[in-house]
Amino acid sequence: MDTSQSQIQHYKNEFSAFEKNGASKSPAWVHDIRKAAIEIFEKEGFPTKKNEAWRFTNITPILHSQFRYSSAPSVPKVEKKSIEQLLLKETAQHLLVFVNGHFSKELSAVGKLPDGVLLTNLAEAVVSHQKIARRYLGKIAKTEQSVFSALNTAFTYDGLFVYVPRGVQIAEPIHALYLSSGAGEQVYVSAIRNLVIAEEESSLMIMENFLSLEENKNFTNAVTEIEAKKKSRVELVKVQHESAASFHYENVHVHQEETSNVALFSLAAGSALARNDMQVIIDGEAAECNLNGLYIVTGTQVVDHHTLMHHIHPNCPSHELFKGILDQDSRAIFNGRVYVEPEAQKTDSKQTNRNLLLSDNATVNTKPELEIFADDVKCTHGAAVGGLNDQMVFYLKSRGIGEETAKGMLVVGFAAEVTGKISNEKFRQYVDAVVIDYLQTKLGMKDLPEIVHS
Amino acid sequence: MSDSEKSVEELVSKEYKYGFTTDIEMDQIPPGLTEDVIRTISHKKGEPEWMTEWRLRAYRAWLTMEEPHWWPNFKYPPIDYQAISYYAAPKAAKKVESLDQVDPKILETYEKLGISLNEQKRMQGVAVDAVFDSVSVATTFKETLREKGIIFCSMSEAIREHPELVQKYLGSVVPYSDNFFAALNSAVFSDGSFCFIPKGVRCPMELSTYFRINASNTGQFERTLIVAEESAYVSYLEGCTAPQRDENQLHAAVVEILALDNAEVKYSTVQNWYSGDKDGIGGIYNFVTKRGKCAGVKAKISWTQVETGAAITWKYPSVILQGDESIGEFYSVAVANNKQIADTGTKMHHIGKNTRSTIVSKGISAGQGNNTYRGLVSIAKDAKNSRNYTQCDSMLIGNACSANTFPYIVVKNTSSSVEHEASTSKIGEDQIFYCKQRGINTENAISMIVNGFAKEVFKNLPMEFAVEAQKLLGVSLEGSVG
Amino acid sequence: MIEIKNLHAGIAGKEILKGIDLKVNAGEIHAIMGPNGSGKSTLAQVLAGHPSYEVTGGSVIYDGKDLLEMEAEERSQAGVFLAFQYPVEIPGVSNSYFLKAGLNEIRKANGQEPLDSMQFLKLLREKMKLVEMADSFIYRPVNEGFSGGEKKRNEILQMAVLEPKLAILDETDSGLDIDALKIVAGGVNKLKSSDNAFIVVTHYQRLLNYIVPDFVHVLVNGKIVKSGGKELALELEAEGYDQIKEDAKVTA
Repeated sequence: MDTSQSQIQHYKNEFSAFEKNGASKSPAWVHDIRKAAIEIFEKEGFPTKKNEAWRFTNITPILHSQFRYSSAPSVPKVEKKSIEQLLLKETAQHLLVFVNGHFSKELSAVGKLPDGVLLTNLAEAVVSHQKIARRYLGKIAKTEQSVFSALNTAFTYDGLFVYVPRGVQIAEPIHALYLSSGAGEQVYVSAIRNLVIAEEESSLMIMENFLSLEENKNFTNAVTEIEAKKKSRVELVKVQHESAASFHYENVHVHQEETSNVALFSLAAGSALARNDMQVIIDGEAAECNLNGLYIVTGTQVVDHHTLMHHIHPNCPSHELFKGILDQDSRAIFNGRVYVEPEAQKTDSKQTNRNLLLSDNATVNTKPELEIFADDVKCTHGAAVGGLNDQMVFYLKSRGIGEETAKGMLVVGFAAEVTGKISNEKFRQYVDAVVIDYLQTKLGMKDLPEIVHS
Repeated sequence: MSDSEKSVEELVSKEYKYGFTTDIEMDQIPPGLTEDVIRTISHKKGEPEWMTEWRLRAYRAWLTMEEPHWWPNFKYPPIDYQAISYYAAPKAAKKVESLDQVDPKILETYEKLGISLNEQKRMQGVAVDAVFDSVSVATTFKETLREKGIIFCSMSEAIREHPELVQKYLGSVVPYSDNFFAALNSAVFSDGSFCFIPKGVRCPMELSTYFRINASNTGQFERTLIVAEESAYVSYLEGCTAPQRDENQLHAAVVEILALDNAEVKYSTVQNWYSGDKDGIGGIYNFVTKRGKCAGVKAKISWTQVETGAAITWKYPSVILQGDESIGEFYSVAVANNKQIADTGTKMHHIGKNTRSTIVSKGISAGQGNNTYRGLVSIAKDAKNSRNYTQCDSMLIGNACSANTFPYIVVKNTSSSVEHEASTSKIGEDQIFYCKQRGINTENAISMIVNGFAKEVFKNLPMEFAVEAQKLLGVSLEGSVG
Repeated sequence: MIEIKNLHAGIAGKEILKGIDLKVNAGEIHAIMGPNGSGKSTLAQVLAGHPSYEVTGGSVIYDGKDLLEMEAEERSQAGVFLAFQYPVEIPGVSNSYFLKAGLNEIRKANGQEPLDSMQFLKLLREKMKLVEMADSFIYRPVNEGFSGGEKKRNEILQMAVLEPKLAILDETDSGLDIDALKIVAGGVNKLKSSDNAFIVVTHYQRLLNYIVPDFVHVLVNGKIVKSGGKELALELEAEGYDQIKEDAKVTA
């Protein structure tokens, strides 16, 4: 039996144990979803490099560890104080904390919310808000598209659940903190499943914050489903700074109705191997989507983004900017796909991927794709890879700035363009702080200027 | 006003005018492919043993390969390789010593195609190798070139007369095991052109090969090899047409170019194979492997192509930039009208230091055509200070066509930079109205706008080719706007 | 030369022109003035035959022919010229090539021999002097990379070359500084003759200091609400459109 086969068996065993343990309390329809997913997982197996979507990303390291799904009682204790140190207070008005994929009521604190808003964890929601949960769970994500999504679905149990009723605006952002922690030799996988529903004319902002408590090895396998109804506004900011030994996978699925506005931002800084799949189905006229991201990697880190902007209807703008900073022996993969159906006339789509290489040993594979079937569209994409611009470094040096500082300024400026796309100021400050911290501690850059936005 | 612009006004003929067949007695072997068939081809061509062996090795490699159906966005029916005849030659074509001995019907065919093989009538400065189905029927200006030490002849002749060169270079850029169609070509290739430009020689005229498929149920598998030694220069043109037939025919060519230190090779193609009718019946499957290698410092290889014909085109002329400071260029205009599929692009492999590459691709989709740019730019770790600039623009005419862009970019060092820009837009209603307001009708307006769109590429073509290309562009878009 | 009767037209189902009546004779200059959104540009576009606009009623007789039945290029070939408010860019096509193609089509339609390159170039150079354009414009792509003023001058150059019978200038003055304005107006005045006519669409009176109209019409909400001599333009300049708008409401 090869590694891949034995791993499939391993996860099947885990699945049996999982269904018997804590997860057994879930309603029957959730069991059905899980069962269908484990079958897909078993049939598909883990992807190899022959699979175009995984051509540049070798997942073998994930298969070399026996990750376990922790049942609720085995979740390690985390001190509330240690969490407060990790966060900006301003971003934690509504805080939901998950440890190794399980909701922690003690660590969470939800402030006052407008009437009708449901903000809780998924394990609770499938029981208490069964009607809504059942209507959307697994309906926005296409499980069969990715074997990791199938695996996540098979272990669907807990995660963030938000429902915003029609016309309701949530002023304060929601912060979902996903902590990973090891326990001696044992390594854990977290199957985080988030479900966000914004009804007509509602609005909300969410931060997904993925953190490791130690330099432990863990595997986060998350799926987030977002339903944005007519005229709703959703902003999701993801920050992933897990340990350098961890593996991270998240598949974000967005379904947009007409005139809705969705903005996604992703910062990928941690993990030995991190992959973000982001699929946006713009399924209504005059809906807008902004998809932005920044990745900063060093050492032997591998970071991979696969995005899809699927235009189905006329008059929809979409903008996408992903930037990457790579040091040492790291590698980044970017595959951005813009798909414009025949009916999606007057689509205005722009996609850009820019990469800054700080080391000759770093590698970038970028593949921006356009597939256009409508004739009256304006679609552009661009990709660029290169080192720091010598001319710019020279210009700064000629003004008396030392080389190190000059480089730092240029790197910070490079990052600031994309973090500046985050519209929520508190989130932006937090992301900027994480970026600066990462550049200093992991990339060893000194004398970095503060990030300012115009 | 330039002459190339004038040609747009000459846009009168609107049909595939090269769809006729030449009625001539052919020596055609029965369909099917076996080791014996390969031996027969090799024997008919009077090849030495090493060549026969090379073909057989390629054939055996081919047997182990699978027919590629790479791209998920379109399918083509499986090709029955046993139903193709792998050798067809005009009977009288053997051992032609001078043009007088070429069958007048063939000369007439080329006259009809606008290619005169008569040296006196021929435009000054272009030498032609005419390939009719499987064999080269005539090569002009051979003597003039020979005085300079330039060898320009059919591949068959090169194998006989210059075996040491052929043995040294054949397969050195595209090995027979490269891919399915290259392996097939290596096994069965019938003819093609061979050019050798010795050290320090600038070829005084354009060299050109004109490929013509005439017989039915045949494939065309030509093989072209161009070698430019140190500081040599050559500009090479390739044209192709085929009769109008209802069945699909396979064209699987291989072109290899080798450029040594300071050498420059410019390779231009105007591809106008029969594309099938409006409903997609018939047409040529154009599955071609073209690759150049800048083996020496400051070598330069430039591909320019205008792809208007063929039912399906898969073609990615590539450059291996091995020598330091070598340069690769790719300029392309591809049209997909009616039910045509054009999947084309390039690969630029930067290996040497300070290497440069430029890619300009203009795709035009009309009718139900599907036009795809697919390319790779890779910069190796040691290819310091290398640069690539890529620009891919697509224009859509009508609402049933599509345009795709799939660029792969791999960069492995910090001192290099790669830039890729792409855009897709429709032909502007406002542009057409503006032209009409100035008295120009819709058809001419479109032709004018499209030629303007493709101009950056046309300017890289030798003059008479540019004129031809502009005419073709208008013809191939005929009826694309209702 | 042209007679417009009860012309109704609109775009995407929205009516913009609500019954225009206008008669222009050879040798006359008519100015159409009006506030933003009154339908001035729509009128210009409809006369030139822009496909986006739909004529829903009325008639336009030009030189004894039904103008509305003619294709855009047929109108051009019959001598109707529109100087665009926003001239269109055509990348890769040189100005001279574009203009020569148009001129020869027009000549062909009128039974004249086409000009060859030399003849055309000679004509073009002459006309370029008229609008003080540099030689380099001949070879630059149509309007691409031109400044606003250059684009407008290019429109007048095209008019000079094509020698239309009826020229419609759609806000040719917008975005022009005073020097460019003088050059453009000078070009128009030199082209003016007893055989041709001009319809000058403008928001401001400024241009009319240099191109003196025989008649001024005020367009409000898709209708001509007032007509008069050149002094009407000065009146409007002094009082603004508000009073006329008010009056229009009362009469409506």
